[in-house]
Amino acid sequence: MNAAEVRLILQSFQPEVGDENDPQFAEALRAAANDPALARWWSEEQAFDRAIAAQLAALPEPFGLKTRILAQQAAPARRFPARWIFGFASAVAVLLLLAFGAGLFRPAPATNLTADYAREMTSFIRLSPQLDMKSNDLGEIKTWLAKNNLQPLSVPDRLAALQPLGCRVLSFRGQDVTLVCFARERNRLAHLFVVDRAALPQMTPGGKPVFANNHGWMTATWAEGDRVYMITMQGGRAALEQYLPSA
Amino acid sequence: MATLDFEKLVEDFYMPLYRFALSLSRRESDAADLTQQTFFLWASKGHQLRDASKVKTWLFTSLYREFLGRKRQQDRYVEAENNPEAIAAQVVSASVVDQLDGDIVQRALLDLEEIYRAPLTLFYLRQLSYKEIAETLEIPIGTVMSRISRAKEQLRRALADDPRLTPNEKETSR
Repeated sequence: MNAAEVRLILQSFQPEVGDENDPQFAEALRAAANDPALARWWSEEQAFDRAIAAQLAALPEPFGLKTRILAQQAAPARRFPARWIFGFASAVAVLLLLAFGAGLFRPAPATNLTADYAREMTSFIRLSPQLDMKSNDLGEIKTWLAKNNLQPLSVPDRLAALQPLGCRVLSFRGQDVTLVCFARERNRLAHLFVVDRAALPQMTPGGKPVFANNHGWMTATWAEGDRVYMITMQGGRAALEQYLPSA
Repeated sequence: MATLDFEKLVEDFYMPLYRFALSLSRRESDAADLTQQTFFLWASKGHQLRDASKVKTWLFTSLYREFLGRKRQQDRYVEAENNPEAIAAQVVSASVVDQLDGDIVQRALLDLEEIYRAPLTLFYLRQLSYKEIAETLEIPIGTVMSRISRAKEQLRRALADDPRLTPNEKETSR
């Protein structure tokens, strides 16, 4: 193994992952230890690597990322339930069917998943995301979305009257979410999110918008056709209501 | 495979994955999105993994594939390995190493060509061995070594050229 080979090999050496047990690295380490010039180079190389690794490790944590990841956790897989659990579950299912038949339950309100969606999208906006496509022309934005096989959107009239800034594509539970941003008065923004209704099956077309407040960001979510729309902006409910389709 | 604690998995890997995603996408919001999507994939498909010791590689590989998929979709992917420049080896002195801060290092890393940026970031994350890096990026082991070596040269050059580092502390050799 010559000096160039030793350098090439040791440049990929990481003691943290047990590389010293790899015969190739072990031989290169021995060679470096027995050659003063290589030993000096290796010492400087390690100092450089430590400095870069430390700076990379010091990158700040993005706001709310861990919370968003944990919030999207799928229901944990269950292991082979005992036979009595099947029997119990069957009995409960029968009782529930009877209860539904008797009209004891109303349809469940659009709550948890919609709340998760509003919270996750709002927390994303708080990261001040860059846009995939910037334009002050809503027609251009719609064309870009169509060109990229993304969902067509119907922008409420009063929102469409604002100046658009651009759009980008996000993800919620594996479904594409289209985000279009608009400029409001006094440098404030309004954000329109559109996702396929498959992502939020509780939302039914024709229902009233679901309002929520996430740390000062008001959201209104409603379904229209096979899409779910959500507007979010900083401010109160009254300010947001003026941009809804029914306003 | 024994059921892995999702929360523990997130705790252990979400920041290394985010840092890797940031080096690939170069945008914080995209990096957060890629990281989130990787854990979504784990939650929905991770049970198919038979070997628990491969979880880490699975996560990094999934994130990398997701990044490549999005990039192809956006029609922005450019293979940059053709005609690599010959790069003179740089030496960054110890005092300059002491001046490095997160912003300078991050910018220098993000300015590297993508084919070098990905293996070098994985190398400095200290999470994967060079063999696992090869598996994650789906490239031969020898290529990992040569790319890490070349990436370090590019990084040194970028740092040596950074005006924020004291010029008289920098030396260039060869």
